[in-house]
Formats: sequence, C-alpha cells, structure tokens
Amino acid sequence: MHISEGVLSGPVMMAGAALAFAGTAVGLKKIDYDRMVHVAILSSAFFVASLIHVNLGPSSVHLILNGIVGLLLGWAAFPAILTALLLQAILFQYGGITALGVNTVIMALPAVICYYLVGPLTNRSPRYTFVAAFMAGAGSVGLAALGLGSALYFTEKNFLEVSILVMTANLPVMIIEGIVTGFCVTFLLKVYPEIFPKRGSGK
Amino acid sequence: MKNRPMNQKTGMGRDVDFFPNAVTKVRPQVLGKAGYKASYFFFHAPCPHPPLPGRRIRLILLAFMFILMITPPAWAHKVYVFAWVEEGVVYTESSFGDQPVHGGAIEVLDKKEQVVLWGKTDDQGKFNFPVPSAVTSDLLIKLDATMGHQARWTLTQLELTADGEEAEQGLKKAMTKKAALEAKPSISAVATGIAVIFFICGIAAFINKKRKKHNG
Repeated sequence: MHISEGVLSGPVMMAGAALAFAGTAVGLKKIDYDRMVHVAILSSAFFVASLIHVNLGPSSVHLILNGIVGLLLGWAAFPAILTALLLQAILFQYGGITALGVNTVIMALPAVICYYLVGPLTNRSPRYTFVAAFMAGAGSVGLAALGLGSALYFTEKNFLEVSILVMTANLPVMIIEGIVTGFCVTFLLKVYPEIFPKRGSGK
Repeated sequence: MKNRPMNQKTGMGRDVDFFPNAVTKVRPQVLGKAGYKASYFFFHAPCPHPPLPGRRIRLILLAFMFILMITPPAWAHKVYVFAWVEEGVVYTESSFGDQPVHGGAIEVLDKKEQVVLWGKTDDQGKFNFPVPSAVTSDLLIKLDATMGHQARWTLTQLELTADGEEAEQGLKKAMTKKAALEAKPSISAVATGIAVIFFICGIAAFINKKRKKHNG
C-alpha cells in the first residue's frame, strides 16, 4: 500500500502533498490535546501494523489499521498517520519521502471517511457494533486501494485494472482487518469507552 | 477509601475519577513522585492537579507492549532490485524483503534512458541476461512490481566490463550492499519509531499546555 519513490509524476505528488498538508492542518486543529496519549498509541499501532504481513497469493500485503485509527481519532488520523508513515519511510524504507503526501492521503482519507460514516453506528449493541467496526476496517482498506488506483491512474492510465489488482491483493487484508477492528472496537467499548471521541463537541 | 490525607500543594493522594466510569484511586506510591509528575503531565496536561492514569490505561499500554513484543520483527515490506555481474552475465534479484517478486517487470536502460532490454522475474524473483555487447555507459535496472512498488539499481560501466581480480572485488562489494538491503527492520528501529512518536506527542501536549497557560 506504500507507493515507492519515483513512481508518481510531479503534479500528482504536489497534489498529494497539498491535500495531506490541508488534512494535517485540520487534524492538528481538531486534536484533543488532553488525549495526546491516545494519538501516540494509535500512531504507534499504525506504525507497527505494516510490519505484520499476510503472505497470501502472489504478492505480500500487510495490515494497515487505518480504519480503527480513523474511528478513534477522527481528523487527528491525518497527523498520526503522517508521522507514522514518515518514520516507516526513514526507518524501514517503506514507500518514499517524495510520495509521503500521496501515501498519507491514501491511508488517512479513508480513515476520516470511516469516522463520519461508521463512527455514529458504533454505540449500540455489541453485535451491531462489531458489524459496524468490521465495515470500518474492511471499508477503509478498500477505499485506500481505490485511492492507490486513482493515484497510479495518472502514471499508468488504467485505473480500473490497477484498482481491481490492488483490491484483490488486499481482499484477505480487508477481511482480517475487518475482524481485528471489530474485536478491538467491541473490546474497547466494553473496557474503555472514553477512548472514543466525543461526538457533537466538534472534536 | 483514602489511604492518606491529600497533600494540598501537589494534590497527591486525593481521590479522583479520571475516567467517569472507572473507579480510580490515586496511588502516588506506585510510581513515585517523579513518575507521578511525568504521568501527570503526559496524560492530562491542562489539568492543574492531574491525577495518575487509571488502571485501565495502564493495562492497555501493557497489552500494547505485549503485542509489540510478540510481533515478529522479521517482516519487511520494502521493494528492491539487486544486480551483480558474474562472468559476463548480469544477475538480478527482486524482492519484497521476505518474499521474491513474481513476474515483476524489469527494464534495463542505458544512460540516455533508452530501453536496452526488458523481461519478467521468475518465481524466485530472478532475471538474468548477458552483458550487452555494446556497453558504453552505466546501466539502470528498473523493477516495476505493480501497485506502485518500484525500485531501481545502477550497474556502473566499470562493474560491467571488469574482469579478474577487479571483478571479484566488485562482486564482494555488491554482496555487502545486498546484505544491507536484505536486513530486516530491527527491534531497535521499531522501538526508535515508537519513542519518536511519543516524543512528538509529548511535545505537542507540552506546547499546548504552555499556550493555554499563556492565554489564561
């Protein structure tokens, strides 16, 4: 899910960087600074998740965990994911520094979308919450795959083909991530409901 | 139940509901004064007398550390192509770190970005070709492993045309580079990353606290 150095054309990188910058600015504005430790924990989780690989089929894919980051952080997912991706690029050579903006948008935007779409559904019965969280986990990976396809469209010119390829490669990840997110959210809701962002307070 | 009277100056020893749903007792003796102050700052920065983090958040942190510890650090996901010359044949190897790249597209370009030849990697991520006879410049080997995964490797003209002892030395150098590329992310790299994340978040909380104080 990490786009390497030198794949994207200049305008795409610039557009990605601009979008990532805007998202990060909104995120920094909306971050609840009293809950900085939550941001740190989730950013670290995202940072580590990419190391857990699922070796299925011809290619190797890894967990992303952007769904749960989005559900628990909202807009703060942008700065959290940006930091984690930057460190992954520096420490593990995943992706590239020049593609950082695009990679951030690809993974953080679905997280924010999940926050708005699925977030309001998580506060009901456990079974209902599990299904909603599963949708968030799987959906955010699917949306990230779509984002990757559209970012590559400008260089490869075959959006549908690339998107389908990315989607099929990430199908196992979508399912695993959905289950992981489902269990995490139901568990957290039971033992530590305060970690969920307060709704209606603008945070 | 209070264990000891509250210290008016530091607020230590008082009963606080850090989490509305949690019954949290402040127990400074667990962390000591320095630990108390540190956690105080980090977990609940703007509160004038923030309480200790509750048992729950400590439990979650511990669980998180545990998951980190059992995570095998051996999974890398960088993409690289590596090439070396041996007796007139260029050998290339493409890998995701823990897995070879099957059917990745390899393009060999000369200095003018003209495609000299191309091919696909096999099941072991390998692709070999004889050194092009009319080599007048460095060769750039480009790997496209689909889905935005790309890597490149440059073979210098010297490497391509060297023979005898020179070639052997070049090969040795290339193998050291290969080992560096294949190195897996170490525990210390993971720990460094997490430490940096927490450090940045701590700084952000600190700056915000100062700003709030400043604004009254």
